[in-house]
Amino acid sequence: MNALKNCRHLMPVLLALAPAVLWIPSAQAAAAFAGSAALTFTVNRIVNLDNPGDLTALTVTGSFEQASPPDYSVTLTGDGSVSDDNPVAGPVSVGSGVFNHTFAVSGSVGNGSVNSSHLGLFGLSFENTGSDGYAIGVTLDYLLDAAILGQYAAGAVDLDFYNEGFSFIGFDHASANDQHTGSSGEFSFVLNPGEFEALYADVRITGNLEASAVPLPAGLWLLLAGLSAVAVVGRRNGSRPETHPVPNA
Amino acid sequence: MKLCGKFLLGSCLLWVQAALAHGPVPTSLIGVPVPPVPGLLDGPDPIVVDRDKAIALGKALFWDINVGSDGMACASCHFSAGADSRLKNPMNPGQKSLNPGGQTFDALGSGQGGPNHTVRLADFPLHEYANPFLRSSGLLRTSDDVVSSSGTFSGRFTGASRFGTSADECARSADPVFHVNGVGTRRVEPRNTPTVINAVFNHRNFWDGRANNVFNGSSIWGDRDPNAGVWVKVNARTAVKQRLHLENSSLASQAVGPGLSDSEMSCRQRSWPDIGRKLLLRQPLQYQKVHDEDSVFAPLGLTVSTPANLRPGLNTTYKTLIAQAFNPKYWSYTRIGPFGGPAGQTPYDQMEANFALFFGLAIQLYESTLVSDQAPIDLSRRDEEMRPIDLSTSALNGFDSFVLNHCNLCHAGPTLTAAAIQGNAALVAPGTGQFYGPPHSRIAFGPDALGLYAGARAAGISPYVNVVTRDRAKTGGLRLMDFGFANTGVGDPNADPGLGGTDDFGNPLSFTSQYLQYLQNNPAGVRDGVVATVRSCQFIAPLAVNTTSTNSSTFTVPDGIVQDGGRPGEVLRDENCPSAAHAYIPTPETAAANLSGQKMAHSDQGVFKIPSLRNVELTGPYMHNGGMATLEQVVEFYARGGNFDSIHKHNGTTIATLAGFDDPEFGPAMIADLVEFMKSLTDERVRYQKGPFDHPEIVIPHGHEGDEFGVNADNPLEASLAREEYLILPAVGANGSATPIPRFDERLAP
Repeated sequence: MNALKNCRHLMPVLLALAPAVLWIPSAQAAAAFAGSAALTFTVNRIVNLDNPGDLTALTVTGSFEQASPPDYSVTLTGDGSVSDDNPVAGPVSVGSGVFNHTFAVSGSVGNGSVNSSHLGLFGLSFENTGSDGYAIGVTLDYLLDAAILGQYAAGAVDLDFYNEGFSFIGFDHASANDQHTGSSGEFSFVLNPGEFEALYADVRITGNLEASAVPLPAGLWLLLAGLSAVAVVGRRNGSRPETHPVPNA
Repeated sequence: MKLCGKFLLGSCLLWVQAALAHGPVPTSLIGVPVPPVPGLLDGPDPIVVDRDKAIALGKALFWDINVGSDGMACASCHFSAGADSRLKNPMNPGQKSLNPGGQTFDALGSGQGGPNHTVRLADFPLHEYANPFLRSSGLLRTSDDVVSSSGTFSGRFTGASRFGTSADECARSADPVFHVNGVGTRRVEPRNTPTVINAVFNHRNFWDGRANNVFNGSSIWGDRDPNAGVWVKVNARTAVKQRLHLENSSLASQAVGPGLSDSEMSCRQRSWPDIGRKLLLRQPLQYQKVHDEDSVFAPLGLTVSTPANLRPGLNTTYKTLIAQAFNPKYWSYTRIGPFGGPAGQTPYDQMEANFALFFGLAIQLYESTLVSDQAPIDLSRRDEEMRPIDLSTSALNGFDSFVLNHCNLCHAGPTLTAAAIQGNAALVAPGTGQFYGPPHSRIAFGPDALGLYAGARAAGISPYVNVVTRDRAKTGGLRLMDFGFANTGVGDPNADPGLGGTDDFGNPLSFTSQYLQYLQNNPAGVRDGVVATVRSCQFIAPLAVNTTSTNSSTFTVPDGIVQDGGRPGEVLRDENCPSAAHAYIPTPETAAANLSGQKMAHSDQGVFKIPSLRNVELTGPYMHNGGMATLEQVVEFYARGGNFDSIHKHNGTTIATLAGFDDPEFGPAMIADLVEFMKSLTDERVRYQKGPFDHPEIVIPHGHEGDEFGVNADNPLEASLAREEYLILPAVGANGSATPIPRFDERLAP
């Protein structure tokens, strides 16, 4: 199994799987998924075309929120469960720095089904309230991670990025047990007085699981319990929205 | 009659036939262009971005038993030379019939029939005379039952697993028609299953042509369907439903029919997004072994089999194949969007919402590879009269007989059907500089491409896609009729209206019926745009002639005629006409006034698509009702002038009376020659299932435990249904099988 080659990659899946396996009264064949998208918006350069160095009239903010229905959909049967605690982040002032955030969803089932679709809405916006023009360059880098465990499990992470007028667009995706890194390349534009521009990223994480009661060997119990313990330790490094200043370009 | 007298009579008849012989001759299919589909693979924004992956997707979908609600794949009815040769449980009571007997099974020639009957040679033909050459000899028996393909148990769809179980969750019960002593059997189609091989050349598909030439992306009805469309991602925040108009895509239209049919493959109330939801996350051919040398999957590295171990499935998912094969604007919308969804479940996403588009086009691209162009008729050298001189003497005699008896006028051109409208038209287009046929006998495109002296013209074939013609009916005089379709008198027109039926919206299937509306200048009655460009001057018999004399069956100047294409916004359709005087139509007022008269007479009842004869020895039983088991029975049918007469019956059935075929001395040899010729249309790659005609393993329902008198209940799907028997076809690779596929009649018990 490819996923076993990368223990860190599988940690979220194992975390999700642990309750399904350990808390069910009888042994079950379980399934789990975990999807995440770690996005980093980097402002590469901002140049005041009229008064070099003056960025006072430019507001750069980053934000994230998980969409509500219909773009949030979770259908569970049996003991299926989904973990999708993705609080709103921002808007936070980014200045001429970096905005990064991780959007993550996981789910598991021991006897039943999980069908979920979550949409995360990222954005880095630029608002010019002054009278100067700005030349701006921004890049979106991303790590898409989709991991699954179980015979009947699927997960996918889809990324759509675009600017305000859809002149700068791109799409990427990762599916089962796939880690995919990529970059939008630099989005360059001139922001004239009174104008607004943004680079958005929509991330959809889907998970589909089915499992039914099938006795498991006792050895697998022990293995899963051990892996779960390892995973708990590894999970302590959760991600939070952050800003990191970088030197002016 | 003395022998010399017989010889003299036979010679005279043959001489008369020879004098009348004309038209296209059967030619090679090598190099004949598959009808183009603008926008599918070409242009700045094609729908399909990886043809090979789309073909792989299509082949997987075609053979995958997970597509159906209870184990039926497309291939379950198209597994043998593209058709169906199952013997057990093939009977439909004739449910297309307007007569009461349409819901009642008949006893056939063996004395038995009905659900779970195993057909025998004695059951055929279904309509049998004491002397098969002579209708006046007395009818021994007849039946409106149909020998066809068993399909689904059906039921009401409630859901399906996305991963595991193949069968859908359906509320099932015994069918009121298809059962044995109250135990439900699989339902059976009301028409015999035609082959998919070479079907890409048909302008329309299904026996009644309802698989429209235009694929709308979501149903079989082409431009007729007001609700049709595909979801297109405009940008990351917007997806809109747009109309799709893909020409020469009848196979895609056809493909999206059976998947929802509660006779063929599906439980009721199942939708294409439901099928997409069931399949997308699955491994293609999840439960079917795939040969390690499969002609499509192996070159793409999709198989997981080895020579020593054939394993089920491909090493991918349907979702991945779609993403690789199709333009992302049809599947990459990340939001839920306005796609709808089943109550209480996750809404459909764009890929699910557009699953009919992917399914139809992938199957079409796969079936477009199923072209059998390596038969003896394709490979033979030709003499100066275009006769295939490498055929056996018997087959060559049969070839001559085929042409002399005008079989060639309906079974026209290299596909041996006039229904291949676009393909035949492309071949006779002048000035292209192209050739077709084998290297040693290349034939130039142009007026003589199908037969000397512009032989195509006699069959109504022109360089234009002309979907209507006017020709002679046996008793109905000259009549307008859909080109490539004919009533040959196989059945009572009331037993199955065929082209005389209507679509889901109440519109006539017949293009001719729409043409009558066009002639009356009623645009609202023209649902298929191609009808409004019909060229009257290409009709076999003219509709209107620019002459001042009067005629009882043809419009002339005194009736009120106008130039064809002369209406506002049209372009005159008078170029390249065999006769400029024929490029006329009646005025709308004249057409309306004569609507019930002979000059506007048309033929559509009991009319069916003219089938290709390629590989015909392998595609029995024959005719739309499967009523004939052998090619000899087919020849006898034409020799007696068909079974039933009506005003809709094409004259071709009776001018091909196969003179001398009923002669006890010469007839048998003449029949044998004609059959031998038809066997020269068989591509050995089809017979031995070599690539592209190879396939994965498939397990096909083949009747039920028991017989027509009793069956075993307790099917795992539902206790009131009969337990299954199966036909198992092993996986075959590109090099084919060592054993040929058996002919239908060879498998029949006496």
